[in-house]
Amino acid sequence: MPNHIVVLSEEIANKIAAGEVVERPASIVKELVENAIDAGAGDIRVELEKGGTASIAVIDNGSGIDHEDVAFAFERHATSKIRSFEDIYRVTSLGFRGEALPSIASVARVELLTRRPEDLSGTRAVVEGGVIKEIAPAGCSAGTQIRVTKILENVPARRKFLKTESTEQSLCLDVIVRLALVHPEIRFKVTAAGREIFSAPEAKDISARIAFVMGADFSDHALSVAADQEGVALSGFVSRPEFTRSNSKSIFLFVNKRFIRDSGVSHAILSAYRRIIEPRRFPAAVLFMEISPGDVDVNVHPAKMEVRFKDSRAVHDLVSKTVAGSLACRETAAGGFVYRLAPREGQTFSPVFRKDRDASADFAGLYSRRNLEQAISQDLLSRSQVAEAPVTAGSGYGDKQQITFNNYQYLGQFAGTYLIFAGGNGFMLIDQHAAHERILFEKLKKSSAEKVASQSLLLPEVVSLSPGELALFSGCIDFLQEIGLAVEIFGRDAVVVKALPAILPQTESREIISDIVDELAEQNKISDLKERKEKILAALACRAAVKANHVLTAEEVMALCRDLAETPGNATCPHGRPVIVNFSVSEIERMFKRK
Amino acid sequence: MEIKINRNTFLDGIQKTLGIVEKKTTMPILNNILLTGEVGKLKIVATDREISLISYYDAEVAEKGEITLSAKKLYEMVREIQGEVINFTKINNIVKISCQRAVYKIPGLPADDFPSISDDSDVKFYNISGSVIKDLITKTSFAMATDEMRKNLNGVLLEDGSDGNNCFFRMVATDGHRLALAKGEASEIFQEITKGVIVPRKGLMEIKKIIDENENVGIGMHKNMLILRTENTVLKVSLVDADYPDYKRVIPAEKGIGVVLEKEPFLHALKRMNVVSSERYSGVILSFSTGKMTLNSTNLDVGEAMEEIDIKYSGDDLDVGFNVNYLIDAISVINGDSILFEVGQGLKPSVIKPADNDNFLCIIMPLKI
Repeated sequence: MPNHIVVLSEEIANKIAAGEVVERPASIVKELVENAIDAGAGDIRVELEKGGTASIAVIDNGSGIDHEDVAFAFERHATSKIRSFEDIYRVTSLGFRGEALPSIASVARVELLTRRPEDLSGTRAVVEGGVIKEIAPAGCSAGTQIRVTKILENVPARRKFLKTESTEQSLCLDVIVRLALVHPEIRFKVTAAGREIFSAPEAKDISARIAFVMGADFSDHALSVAADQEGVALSGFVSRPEFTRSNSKSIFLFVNKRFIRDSGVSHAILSAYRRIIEPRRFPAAVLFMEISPGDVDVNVHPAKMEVRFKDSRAVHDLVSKTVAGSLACRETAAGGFVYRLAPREGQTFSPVFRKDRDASADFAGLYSRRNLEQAISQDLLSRSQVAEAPVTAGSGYGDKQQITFNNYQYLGQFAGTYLIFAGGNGFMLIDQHAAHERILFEKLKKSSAEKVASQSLLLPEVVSLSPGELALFSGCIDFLQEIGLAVEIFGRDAVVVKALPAILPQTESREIISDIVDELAEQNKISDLKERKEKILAALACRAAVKANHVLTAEEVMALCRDLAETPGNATCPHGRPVIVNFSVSEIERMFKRK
Repeated sequence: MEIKINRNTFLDGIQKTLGIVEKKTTMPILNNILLTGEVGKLKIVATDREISLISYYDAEVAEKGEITLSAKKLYEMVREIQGEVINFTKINNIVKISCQRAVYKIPGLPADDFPSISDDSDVKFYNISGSVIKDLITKTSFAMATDEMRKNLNGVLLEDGSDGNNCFFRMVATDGHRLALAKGEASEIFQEITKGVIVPRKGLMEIKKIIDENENVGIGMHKNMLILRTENTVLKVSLVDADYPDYKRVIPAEKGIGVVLEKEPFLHALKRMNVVSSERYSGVILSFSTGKMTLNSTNLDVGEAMEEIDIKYSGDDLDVGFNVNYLIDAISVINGDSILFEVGQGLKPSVIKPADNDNFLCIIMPLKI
């Protein structure tokens, strides 16, 4: 009988362990740049080739490594940062596990050149596949230069899961941006294929750095946040309610200068914005939390992206209250008014009806059967009370015109969002936004295959982007041109929009661009060109489609029905949410216990 | 408080406030108008805190006093009253409105709670004719942006455009796709607005509605408000606190190819093109060739429209696409029979203006089809 259980060789064990630390080029960048910061560098340069999938170089002017210690540096759990287990509860440096260099070295070729400022000569070391190939004295400038090549070459399984070069590059940049946000005293410079893509000069303080990194749009719309309570100090900036993003990627949270993701704290931030910004929109925020190292466990995961708070409830409350406080006392004069959520003019629902609409807003976006039943029954209940007023305020309804869709007759609009139709077999609700989104999406798809009309702008609009976003964006400029969105790269951190697709009504360029970028950034796997195009079209369609809480006139409903009937795939919106929900007579009869 | 007032005068006065009073508000008193009996006059005040209207009407005031009442209800009541003279009396906070044998009683809110309207006693007023103001608004307001996010474009720029010889006002509106600019005569230099102010959409529409063409209007600035004063009315509009884009930069320095067109035939041809262009975007291609212009609009779902117009043109053949509605908007507001169309080549902007004067121009960006 052969042995079923064998002890793994050191090489395999290292590779497995490396898997936790080195997932992709961005993780290598993170470990190396953190090491450079821990080494007290004042100037860090990062050079990426092919988005970091071919080679990564990190060059700093920090303290360097002693010749004697170089060999140790490549050994697992060799660290200069802690001495005993208790120390990890006192760590103030970014790294401490002693896993970074050996892990990287086990899955790539690492070339290290280092010299302490006080030494005359430096050291050159080459490690490949976890084996030290060379350690020799060498001349070099003070500090450490690490060049990593053959990345993940001996782990084909992982290499296969890398995304496109531009996505990997943007992930690398994300990592550097996060570190740059907390270290204003350090100069950062990133080049990709020899071209400078990110450069942050030394900043006099953290807010200057934030303004530089997050861009002018954010700093124009930022509110400062500050609190100090029970050993937790919170500071930073959050966006005003009118500045929103379509995902939570612009929420940066730092605990003791370390970027982390924490669902609890994110929830706390979002809950402060609840009811202030539209559902499914997210604020931007840069928050720093200083908390005694004893009250937070950073040793949860090798990538140190997660932490555990001793009292997570208290942290949640502090964040939520502080952010809400800042939002509440914002000066409204400087455009901080929440006009997006302001109810539209001209709505003449009776007060009773409007009250119900507010209640129904709670489950806008949730499509569980129960909620809908509630909404329907509320609608029907209130209908009897407003019998003298037609459900729809739209002008022209009540003419002889009959609006029908699939032989269902249009009754009216509910909650400014859903169109109600009744027919022989029951009734149905159409989500006007989802329906219009699908129509526009199909039209855009059609027009991208044919000639397209593009409205030039009288005042070209400059939209600022972060370097990572710009990297994602630059890949699809040609396609945008094809669908009539003429965009040019404008310097290192902005694009200028020169023309919009004529099919879209007047939409704001800034929002279109940020939606496209968010949509691109959300990709979970390598996506081909077609998929990327569809994402862009979906973003455009969503932005241009008629919004919820918008009263439609009879003519608009009629046009919508006609277009919807002709549109393929009209059961769902491009994001997959339903457009139409049906209620059969028998279902309704069951609700009333008639059956 | 006891007043006798002519029914039609009263109805007219209340009606003018309906556009201003808030329909939905957390401050119920803003749904109301303030009525004050003064010597020989009834003063009616309406405000939504951005726009305020103060107007005076002749009335027999037997006893002075003041009260606020719901503008909408009061309007509906007075509208249904038959007869010439309305008696208006207030006892405590209940107002009795009677005419012939009909009597309404309506509870009001005390006048002290009504927001105070800032004083304008030391404002310098400049004279302008009502027709000039209305003309400026008509000629520019169509080009304002409709999306609420861009506050600065969701209104018009009003500035003093006087040069050494003539005094005039300039009004500019743009939505980023086109820009309309109109000039109107003034009597003297309006010092306070030489840098320009932005009048918001709602305020602009109220001005257009309330100012009468035959009136002489005094116009002045007070803090961040534009004040328009006629014999019986004062309208105060809060201005948008934002920067207006530098519109002068947008006006093309080099002129396009100038074509003189007859207004009505061109306008009607465009309207015929508009029938086939799609609802969401409305493209028309203008093709210029020797002696004629061809208009063409194609929509895959509907069909095609084509029309030829004889013009004086002798240059190279030229094709330009436009949003047909932008052309219609610009041409409709031109007075006079002929227009000058300066067609930009490539993707350069085109300019439409009256053939015989410089009082209006509309810059339109082309549609790349």
